[in-house]
Amino acid sequence: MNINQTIRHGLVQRAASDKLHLLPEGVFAGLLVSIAFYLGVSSIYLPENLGAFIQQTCVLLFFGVVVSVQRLYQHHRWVKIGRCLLFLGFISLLYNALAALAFNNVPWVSDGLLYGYDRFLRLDVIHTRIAPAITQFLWQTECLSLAYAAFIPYLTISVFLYGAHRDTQLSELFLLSVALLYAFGFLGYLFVPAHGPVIHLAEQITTPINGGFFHSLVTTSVDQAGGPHGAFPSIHVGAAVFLCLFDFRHGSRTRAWLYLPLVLLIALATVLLRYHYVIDLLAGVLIAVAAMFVAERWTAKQRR
Amino acid sequence: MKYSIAKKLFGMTLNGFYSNVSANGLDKLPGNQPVLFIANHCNAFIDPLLLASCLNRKVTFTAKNTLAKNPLLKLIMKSFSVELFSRRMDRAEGATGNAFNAAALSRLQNKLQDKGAVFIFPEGQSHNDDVLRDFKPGAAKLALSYAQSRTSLDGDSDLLIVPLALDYSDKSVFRSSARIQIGIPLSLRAWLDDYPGTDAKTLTKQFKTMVEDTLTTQKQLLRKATLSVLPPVLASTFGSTFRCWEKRIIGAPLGVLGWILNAVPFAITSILVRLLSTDHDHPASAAVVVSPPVFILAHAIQLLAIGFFGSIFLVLMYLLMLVPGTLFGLSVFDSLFNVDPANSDMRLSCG
Repeated sequence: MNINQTIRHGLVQRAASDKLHLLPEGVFAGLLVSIAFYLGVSSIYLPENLGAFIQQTCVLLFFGVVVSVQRLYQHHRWVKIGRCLLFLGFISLLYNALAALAFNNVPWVSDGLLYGYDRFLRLDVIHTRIAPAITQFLWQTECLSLAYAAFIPYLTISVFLYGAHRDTQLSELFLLSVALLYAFGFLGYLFVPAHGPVIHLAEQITTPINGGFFHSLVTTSVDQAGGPHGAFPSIHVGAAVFLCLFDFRHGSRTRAWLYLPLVLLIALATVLLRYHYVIDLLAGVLIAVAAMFVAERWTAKQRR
Repeated sequence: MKYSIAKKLFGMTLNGFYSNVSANGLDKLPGNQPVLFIANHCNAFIDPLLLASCLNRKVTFTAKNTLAKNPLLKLIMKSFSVELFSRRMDRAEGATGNAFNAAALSRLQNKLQDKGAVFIFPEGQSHNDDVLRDFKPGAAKLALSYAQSRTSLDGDSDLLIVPLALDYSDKSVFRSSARIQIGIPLSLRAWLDDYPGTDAKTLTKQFKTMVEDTLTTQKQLLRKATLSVLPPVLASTFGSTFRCWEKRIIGAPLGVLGWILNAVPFAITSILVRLLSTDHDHPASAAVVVSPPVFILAHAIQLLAIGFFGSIFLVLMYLLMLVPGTLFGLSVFDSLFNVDPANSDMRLSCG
């Protein structure tokens, strides 16, 4: 073998080991197929779902096309960036779509059940006393709203940092964990639909939230995403905890310590701003740990 | 206080005082065998803490019994199950005599019989000299009496004598570095096979040679590490550059907040350390001993004050920011003053 052949051979070997495994995309595809199937079957007795079924099928087809292109050009540098954009795009799309889907098709609303769990754990005092006491002050509400809003850049930065990482195995593990977390979370949105304390306890807690710019930014974003929905589980908290946990286990401990105050503030903000029950936070942490656990086992199996 | 809790608490304060606490050669340590650690003694109370914080295994330390007069030291030594010995030079200070030492030696022997680990400073006292002082025969006597008490030293019963070299870049300076070098262990069975009928004097000379060799090895390794430091590699990926600036943009304000939160307990600790230190090897020991109660009390008072004059929200924010703020406060200090060029991922400098 001459020198050029050796270099080419080496590149091919490296390319083979950097092969993209599509497990993360598979998880999302599974979720999209399940939603499309559900809509397809339910449109038989609920004709108003036909439009949503067609829309969901188009989304699935588009997803399939993008993933196929990704697979074809997997050794190109932009594929990893594209993958991250795809993930963030679908997370946003599904989050917005699931609001109407859940409340229109599932015959129950779970706010009463979730608040019941908080009362059982004697944590309802957080909603009835502590949250109103804290959110009556402008600067405190603004701090919490800023933390709540900061979740989006935190998620985005982390998805690009790890999803487009030069270590393909690390990026696969990260994206698979994120996909699983959101899949578990969205299943919760679908089958345990809830609006959150901001709607359910609106008559009980009459103290208004005294907010400013950041709080109105948060409320506007929530309204544009279909209004308060998806209380259970708290993917806000689950994803934030997952990102910090991932930093501790596989990334940089420095980065984990850097963002730990933000993660804890996000957890506080979700409850004090009345978007979640405390039980939602516990469920969020659980799905974060479960997603990490399953993803690690799957990727280890893949490597063998 | 349990050993594990005391080890974690004082390990934290040790890692707070020194920027880089490291141990080299941990792979040489045995798993389930009696071990006698011997080391040079140059930094009073810090030396045993340094070993305790680097090892997973529980170690029984030895100390002079006049230290028990200090109630705080007595509590700490009780937590670490320290065996106290009476030194001849302390007899004027009211130290008791040979019967006391015999009882302590017997307890140490029992620890070795139970496959425990014992740590002795054969020099007998902490000092600032550049060379080792004469070794006392106590460690050798312990090893030989252990050998006599066993019918055989086969397998797990063999006593390993492990020499350690303890080194500090500048032992009394805040955020300098502390290192342990673990030397080549000596098997007591192998020694007795080669030198049957050996006495304590000969074994003591061997112990001194072992510690000297370990100190030499440590110096050579340090010199090699210093000479082989390459110029900083430029950040080669967008990711690493981004992470570096992330560390600076978020870490620096967190660090400043950490300084503010810890300013009062740090100032109190500094004043107490200056008052309590009468020798070059006292500041670090004083800092490590005094800082836990001072910091805990100061933060408790600060929290109460914030809760009383401020709000519960401020208390929550204080609690959330305390640990990360303290960590990044130390990181900001390291970056600004560059006290020791030790490699630490927490530092805010890139590369």
